[in-house]
Amino acid sequence: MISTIHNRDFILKIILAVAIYALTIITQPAESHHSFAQRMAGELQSVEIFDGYIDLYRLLNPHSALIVNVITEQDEIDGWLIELSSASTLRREGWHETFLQSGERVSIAILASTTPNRGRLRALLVHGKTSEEVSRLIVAYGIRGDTPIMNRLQERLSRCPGIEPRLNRGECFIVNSEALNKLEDEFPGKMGYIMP
Amino acid sequence: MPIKMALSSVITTCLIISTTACITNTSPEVPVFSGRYVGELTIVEPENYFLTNHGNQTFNNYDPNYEDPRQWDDCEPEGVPAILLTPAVATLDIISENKTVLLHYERDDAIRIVNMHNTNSKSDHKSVLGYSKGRWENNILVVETTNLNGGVIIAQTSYPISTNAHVIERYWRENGSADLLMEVVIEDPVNYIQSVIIKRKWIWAPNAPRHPWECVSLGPRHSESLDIESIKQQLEAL
Repeated sequence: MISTIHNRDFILKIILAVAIYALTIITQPAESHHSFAQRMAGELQSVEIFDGYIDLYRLLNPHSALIVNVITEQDEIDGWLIELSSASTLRREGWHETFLQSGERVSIAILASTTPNRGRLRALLVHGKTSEEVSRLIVAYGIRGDTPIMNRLQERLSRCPGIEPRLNRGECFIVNSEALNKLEDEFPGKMGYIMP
Repeated sequence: MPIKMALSSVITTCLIISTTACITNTSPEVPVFSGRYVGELTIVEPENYFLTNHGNQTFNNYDPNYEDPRQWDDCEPEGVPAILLTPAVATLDIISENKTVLLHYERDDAIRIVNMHNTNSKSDHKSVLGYSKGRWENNILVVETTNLNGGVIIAQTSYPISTNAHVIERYWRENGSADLLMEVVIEDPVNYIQSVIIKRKWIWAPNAPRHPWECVSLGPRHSESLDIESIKQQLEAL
């Protein structure tokens, strides 16, 4: 009798375990955003940084475009297509057709694409034309929003006039040579101040 | 395209007329939501998406970096419900009329015509925006959409939505504010064991500029090295 009850309990436990297992298989929850982050991780981590000159800038939908000419170590010009946010978004933030101009010297960090000379803008330092003229640091994909890098920059730099911060998307900061030196000392490495 | 342009023109005219009276009801039964809104960037997603086996398989097999059509052509239109949830800052114009409600999105310059009159009507044609019919439930505008092409719920994620999905949007105002609260309920038993509910607020913005979409594709994101000179010429010619 005792043995029968034990057997019945054992069988009931097995049935229960199988039922729970089946239920977990059927109802597999997928946490929001995790898949995106994981799938994009390889791309997001692949940041490339180089110096160059703006060749062309256009506000477009759904992605604005920047063509930057990079001077290679062999003194050759290497053209890159860089994607920015949509014209709809950037115009609302205060960007306009001459916000960036061809010929401006830039240091640029991009999130590399699988296409060899294409990427998305992570950060752009538009150097002043002279040592007295201030530079502008524009930050975008991978930094925008409430991120440690954005917070770090907001604590140390003032915003470019005319750019709307309320949208909490990209940002534009004024960087004079003293502020830039401080950033470079505090966050060493090429554009270390916009790196994790 | 000419039909779309004509509709855009009608919408612009309607907006000028309706904006001034947008918060005031024109009839005692239903509110008038006509006017311009800008979608908040933040959307409220469920903590978990409870996938069926099929949904889980589809989820795991979908790589948004390759399977999202916009990875190959930027101008591929967003579908319902993704267009309701796109994080890009863009406007939505609503035109309430007796027999229809027009929903005109800045994104893709997309126009949805919600049939408010013959709610028994049916369509077999599938499309990115689907077939929508609507009704008023007290002060809530309810839009039900079927006949969708399917794809994913939110662009650049992997949560699937099937061609059999039924999307129910509810729009309402609260506390005297002209902002619209939106709740999107996705019923898709092929992929989910329970409805997926996502919320977003549309901010009343009658003075917000509406920029023409004028989509330009920068080409596929996965290709051999780009011919930058050729792209430059194309962009300069715009």
